[in-house]
Amino acid sequence: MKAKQWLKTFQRALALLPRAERERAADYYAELFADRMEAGEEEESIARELGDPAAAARAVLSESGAGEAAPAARKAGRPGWQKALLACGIGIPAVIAIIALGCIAVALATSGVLLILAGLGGTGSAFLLIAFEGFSGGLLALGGIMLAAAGVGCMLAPPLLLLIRLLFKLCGTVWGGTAALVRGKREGQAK
Amino acid sequence: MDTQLKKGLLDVCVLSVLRKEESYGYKIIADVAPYMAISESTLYPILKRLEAAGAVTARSREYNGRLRKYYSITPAGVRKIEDFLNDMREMERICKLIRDGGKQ
Repeated sequence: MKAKQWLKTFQRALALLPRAERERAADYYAELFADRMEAGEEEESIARELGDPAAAARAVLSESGAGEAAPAARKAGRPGWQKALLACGIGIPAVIAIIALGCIAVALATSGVLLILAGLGGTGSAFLLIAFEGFSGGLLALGGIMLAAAGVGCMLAPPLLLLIRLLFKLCGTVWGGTAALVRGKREGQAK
Repeated sequence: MDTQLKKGLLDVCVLSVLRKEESYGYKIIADVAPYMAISESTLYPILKRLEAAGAVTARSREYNGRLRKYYSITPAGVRKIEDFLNDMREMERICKLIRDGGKQ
């Protein structure tokens, strides 16, 4: 049997385990295959020595007590009615908060962009006017001011972008935190 | 050897190997094998148990383009070895009784 086939059968026999545990066990054996092959052993002989992958899987299952543990893990966490109550009580304000944060981010972005665009537009029109109507100190000043506005907009762009990114990250945290709270703590998880 | 005795011994053997330096699955088996029969399927639950007990920590590091899990001993793990050695000293006394017991 080849390593890939051995590992595939092994993983399939571990279907009862939670994904993290199953992958952990599979990684362990995959690593052993890789290390032993690197040491010069033949893939098929390693597989033969490891024996029946289903038997190895049964050994892992018996050590993890999967029969009892799996349903127990699912039962930890909140009862359904608590979840529904929390989802409404905390979830709805959380969603409103997220929408508000999102609007702030969008507003910041828009004002930044508009400042630059308006500044450039103003500069352009001021100089066009100079070209068509003739030179005027006022128009030159206006052009300069508009250019400065665009410049300020560009300078503000990096900090504004950072702020917007932070705001969206905050949205994600609020969402994740609320979801975890509604779901309730699971066994063995501190976060 | 008695199975229960073996189980406890293997745990400490693995810890002792890790006390020297951090190691990975294949190497741990290679280092313990000359002293005690140990297979891949035996080592896995031992490492899981030791990690759960806080005697050992694991981290993945890149090796030759793949990820390898390296295990290192913790202070709690070192204490486990010392506890075992204390138990062994006590056992030596009891062995004396078993050997000489009843005889004059």
